[in-house]
Amino acid sequence: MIELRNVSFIYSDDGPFETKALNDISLKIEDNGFYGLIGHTGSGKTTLVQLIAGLVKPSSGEILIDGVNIAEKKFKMRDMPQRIGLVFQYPEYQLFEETVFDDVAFGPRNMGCDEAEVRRRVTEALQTVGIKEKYYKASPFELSGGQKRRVAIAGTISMEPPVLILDEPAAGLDPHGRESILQKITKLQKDRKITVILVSHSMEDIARTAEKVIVLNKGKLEMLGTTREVFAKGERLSEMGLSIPEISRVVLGLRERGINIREDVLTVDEAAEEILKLAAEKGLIK
Amino acid sequence: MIKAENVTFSYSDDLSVPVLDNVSITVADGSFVAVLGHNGSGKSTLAKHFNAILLPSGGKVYVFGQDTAKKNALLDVRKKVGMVFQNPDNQIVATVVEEDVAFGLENLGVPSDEMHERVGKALDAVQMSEFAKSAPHNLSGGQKQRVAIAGIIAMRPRCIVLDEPTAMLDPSGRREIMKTIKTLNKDMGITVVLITHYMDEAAQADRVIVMDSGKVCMDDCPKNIFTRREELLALGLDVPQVTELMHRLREKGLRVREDIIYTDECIEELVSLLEEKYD
Repeated sequence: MIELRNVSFIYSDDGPFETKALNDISLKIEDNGFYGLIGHTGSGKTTLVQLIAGLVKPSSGEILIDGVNIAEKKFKMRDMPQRIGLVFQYPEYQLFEETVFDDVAFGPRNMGCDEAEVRRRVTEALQTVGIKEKYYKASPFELSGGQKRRVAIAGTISMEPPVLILDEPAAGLDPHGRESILQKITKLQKDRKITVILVSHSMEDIARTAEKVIVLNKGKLEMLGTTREVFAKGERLSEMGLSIPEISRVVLGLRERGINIREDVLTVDEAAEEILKLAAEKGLIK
Repeated sequence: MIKAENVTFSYSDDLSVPVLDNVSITVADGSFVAVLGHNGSGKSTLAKHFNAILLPSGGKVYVFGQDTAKKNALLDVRKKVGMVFQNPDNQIVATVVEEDVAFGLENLGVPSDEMHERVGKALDAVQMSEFAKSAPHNLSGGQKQRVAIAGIIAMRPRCIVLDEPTAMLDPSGRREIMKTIKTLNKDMGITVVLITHYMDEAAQADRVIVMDSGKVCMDDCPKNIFTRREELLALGLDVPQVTELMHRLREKGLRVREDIIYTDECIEELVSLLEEKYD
């Protein structure tokens, strides 16, 4: 489990440009959960995931990973109780090896895995993201944008972290690429029973993947609840520069017009199901 | 008017794998055109031909009558067609908003009085006047992107090409940019070419062009485009969520219109469907 206790992070501490990127955050992230992390630009999302991954230390507060406080000054990264995989935005810019295989093998090799284990991990990671074997010997730079993105994500998956954090993994991809990456992450989370934290500006993507949603606003924790609980607060989200999924707006519109439809609908599938129920009640269909 | 005539383009000398393959289209003055296509379909490459960042390997591009391949046309073409890219941080050069907006004008040697007037009007147009003296790094993503757009507007272009301008923005940033784009098009008469992966953004244009393998494969009004759901899915694209909802309902035997692409009309359609039986 990951637990933050009163965590604050201040840029240019004490200087004239002091800014509180995170302000007194306390939250718990349970094992095997699929969390969405949303917030306006500059709300502190990236700082939060960097803190959890141990890349930066907070100005104050505790960050407990399985009970070990990684925020302590004397804490060393090699003592990290759980590996935390962080996939940055546009991770394809970090591809560097000569072949797809070697790029994905970089992590496991660094961890000291023998070549048989490296091969197993790389093969599994590339299968997970849907990269076919014929590309293993190709240069990562010859691939399409969507393929590069998937190889870069495989480079983190191959280290088999029990916690995987992805910062806008679908940004800039076409609808098919977006759908495909999200499906693969969802499947990985279920199959391997890992914890996933997905940072996204797409409310539609969060609605169909996350079980729980963390909402940051101006460096503070605004909400942490189930996806339905969070998206039920449309007005508050809108004030914070966020929104609810397009389909939820349709359902709210119907309710305003006196149609008695369940209010916490988040996806097209759910909306279709609810409308069909109403239509059946009215005898419009069998 | 922007006119592409049989444009072929390849990034290497090998024309057997062209990125653009014999593309001919015309963008009418004052129109709002969205360009869709999967990653690698050639849409950004086409857009870069509209202000001579790229020149065709074969065929011609005419921007308001001028052949973009003619060396002496370059400055004029760039003045008439401005481009806005995905990442606002890569497009901001100055430390104060108004200086950033003035950057292009300084390069053109516009006199100081006129420069002030143009910068003021450009910031007005994107509703960023109150931030004229602010530092760009303190702005939100949507605000920065509007500053980038103001920098283009100040040059008084006749056309703006935006290449996924909302890809990195939060929901309110996306709303701000779409509102700004519509103001420029409807109130100022600027031609808009919007490249996007968001179907709901394309639905707001007057015309949608769909690209695949370097060719234009669909070219129609948004309603007609988004009723071709199967073809779009096969091209790696999608339809707006409300269009998808209507499709699912029709599949189950409900008689709803299939050409629904906006939230409002979706609500109307469903209200009239579900209220019917009360009479």
